[in-house]
Amino acid sequence: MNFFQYFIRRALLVAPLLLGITVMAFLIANLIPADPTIANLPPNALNDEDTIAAFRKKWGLDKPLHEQYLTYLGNLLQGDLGTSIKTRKPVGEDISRRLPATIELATLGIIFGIALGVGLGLVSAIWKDSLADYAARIIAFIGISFPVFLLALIFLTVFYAQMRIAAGPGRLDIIMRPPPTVTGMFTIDALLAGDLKTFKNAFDHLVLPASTLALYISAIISRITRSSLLEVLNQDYMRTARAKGLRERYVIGFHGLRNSLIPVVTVIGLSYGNLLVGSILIESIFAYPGIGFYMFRASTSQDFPAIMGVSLLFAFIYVGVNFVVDILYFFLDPRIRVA
Amino acid sequence: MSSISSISSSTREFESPSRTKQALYHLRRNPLVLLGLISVILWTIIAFIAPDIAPFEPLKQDLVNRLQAPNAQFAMGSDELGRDIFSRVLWGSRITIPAGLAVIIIGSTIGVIIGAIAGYAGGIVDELLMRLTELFMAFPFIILAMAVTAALGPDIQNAVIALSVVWWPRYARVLRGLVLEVKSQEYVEAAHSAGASGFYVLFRTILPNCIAPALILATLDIGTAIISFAALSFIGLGPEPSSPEWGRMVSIGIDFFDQWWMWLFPGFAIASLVMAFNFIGDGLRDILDPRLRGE
Repeated sequence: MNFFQYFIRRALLVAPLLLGITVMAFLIANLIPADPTIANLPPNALNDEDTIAAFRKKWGLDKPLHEQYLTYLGNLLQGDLGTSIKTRKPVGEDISRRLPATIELATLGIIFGIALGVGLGLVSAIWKDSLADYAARIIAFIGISFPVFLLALIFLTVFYAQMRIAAGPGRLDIIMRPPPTVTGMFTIDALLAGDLKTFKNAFDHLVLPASTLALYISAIISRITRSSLLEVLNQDYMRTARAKGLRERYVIGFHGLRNSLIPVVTVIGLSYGNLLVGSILIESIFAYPGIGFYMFRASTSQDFPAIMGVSLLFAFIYVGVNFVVDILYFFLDPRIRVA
Repeated sequence: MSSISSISSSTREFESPSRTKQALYHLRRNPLVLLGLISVILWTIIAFIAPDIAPFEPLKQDLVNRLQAPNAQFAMGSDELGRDIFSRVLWGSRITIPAGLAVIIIGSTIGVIIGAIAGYAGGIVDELLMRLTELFMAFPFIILAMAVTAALGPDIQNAVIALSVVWWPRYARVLRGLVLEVKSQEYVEAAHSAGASGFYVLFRTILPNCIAPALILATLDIGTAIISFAALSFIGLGPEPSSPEWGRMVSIGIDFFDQWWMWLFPGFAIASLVMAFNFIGDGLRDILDPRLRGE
């Protein structure tokens, strides 16, 4: 199978999934609340007949369910996710303004997380039952068992409030001015503007939340890396590689790691879900104004349209990431190319 | 190498020590499982006797003594309304443990039934149910639970319902695979030819042979269920704010960042319980999966 065929085949599986997600989101939004009008409009608008009528007309609430869905889908395709009760702005606009901040944090978080997870897993597997193995497994255990919001609070207390070696909440120090907006990601915008001071400040503010996120997602990654590598290390071809005199570094790096990578890549895709959930919990503690913080605010104030908008976005991102992972298999697993 | 180990394991089976002995052997080799068991038992006891041992009422306000650091009177300090954190942490176990268990029980039951029907029926029914399962798995599950809770209206019951609704797909997948495997066994054929109805064969002949793996999965899952419930209530989609629920207490504690006792103790309560369940689940997996035992 060539790459193009493989790509098309996977893409054909994703399309109905995305459509299915919109159906589910639609059903949750329209069937579960006793009255979608009450759930989606601010309380003071409920006395206003015109507002209610306009809302019902826009979303086609007086029509049968399948037509309502088509209206919903039509609005969705135009980027219309409804209006936030709390900010009084379109949810789509709210989200797109906050998205760059979260992408910045999540990207750094996943880079740290993969490095930490694969690193710990490697150490654990190669020096199995050593002190390093136990230490790595304890770290993984903490990452799995401690609620991520507790980790965030502990990190903030220890590294910011007590030791003062990390930057505090927010995206920049209060006295700093954001760089001119190009991408909305402060680190990149600062670099584009050639402003190293702002870049350093923005980056400093990212380190602590990104590390918390990393510890949280690295737990699963390191466990899978460990068990997957342990299994590979026992294979006959590893003994062959050693027997033909390859250096240990090559044996593990080339034969071992590469063959154990497939489950690791799978779990990285799946842990993206944790990354998204983690961003909600972590941003809320670091007062980091991204999508996660927006979702937290929306949940505490029962801003239903905003919650549905973010849920839909996160589901799309999750499916997208796992699609990319599927595509990566093509390069990692030669068996796919033969099949 | 594999042939040697299979010989040695078969000789061990030949001696066949009693089940209790085997269990004790594994417990000795996995002290963490023991630690986990003890912690879970301890928390369960606390959940039962919290009303008797808590020094204060969990909702009783005492504004004079608000925001006290841990001291002789308030072992874990007091919160912004002068409520005793220690008493609230004890009472919290009465919310979190039943909530976590309920999610697992409801979720796994739904999953087992759907998976069993899919695997047994095959054909279009299987196809439809599995597509539905995939659709549920396309959402990061806590996100889906958040949307459902928000739609139902936030409270403990709805948080449990929402988590159960998103919990079943993994069980459905595992069960479907198991049922497909068991379905082709001769004793199933025998049951069919003896004239048993499809319903009888599925629920009386096939399912009992698939239940053990589902139970293991459930044990491994309790920790995740508890931590997810805490996360829901942390972001305000669980019990009302005054409730002594651990996630909620941490969430309120954010606004009192310097009064670390307000968030640290409830946070540790979640961590200790989840860790205990994870110790048990991990040990169980090590014991049951000889590949990871590294023998």
